[in-house]
Amino acid sequence: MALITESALSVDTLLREAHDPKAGGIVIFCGEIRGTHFSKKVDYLFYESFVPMAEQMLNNILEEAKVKWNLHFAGAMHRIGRLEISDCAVIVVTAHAHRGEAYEANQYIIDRIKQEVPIWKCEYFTDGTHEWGGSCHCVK
Amino acid sequence: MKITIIAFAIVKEQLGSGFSIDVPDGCTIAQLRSLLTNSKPEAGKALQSSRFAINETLASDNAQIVPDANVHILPPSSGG
Repeated sequence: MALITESALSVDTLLREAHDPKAGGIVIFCGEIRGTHFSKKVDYLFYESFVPMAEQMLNNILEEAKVKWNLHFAGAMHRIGRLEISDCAVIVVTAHAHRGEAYEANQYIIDRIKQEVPIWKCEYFTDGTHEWGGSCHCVK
Repeated sequence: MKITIIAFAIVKEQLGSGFSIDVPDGCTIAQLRSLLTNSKPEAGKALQSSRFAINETLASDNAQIVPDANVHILPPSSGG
């Protein structure tokens, strides 16, 4: 399941689909809005996306991960529009017979979402300025 | 030939979006990037790092744009 939506995200939706008698390990990753960007205070974030292409690419990433790790389930949702501090922006759920593969696949999926899927964040700061993209410490 | 430019995020802010432009027949993505940079030099850095799609399919620098195409400009992703 790959979904880009303006609605609030629900872990339950993906978790329900992930349950499988053959899956002993289910990993859930939630990416939430951080209130600071280095030394700047964040007011809110705005996400936009090229939705048709983003959902297609997200689907492809999930299918690749399922094959690569032999997952019982892989699903991801990303929210767009205005998000407040501590709102959930993205959820990735992976299910495998064992936890090691479920963790590894989950990290692979979120890394590829951040690097490839056409979704962009704009951070609006409390000082009135804003900045597109690049909030991850690994790219600064 | 006429094409439509649809840009996102920082490129949209710098260049605008949803507008038509005339480009030479057989224009490639690399040539379009140069044309747009010349018209809006402040967008040059973002255009340089952006991916382009022709009618919703990612296109390389040497891909030729077809008449009436929608060309999407996708700056580096920052989801998550």
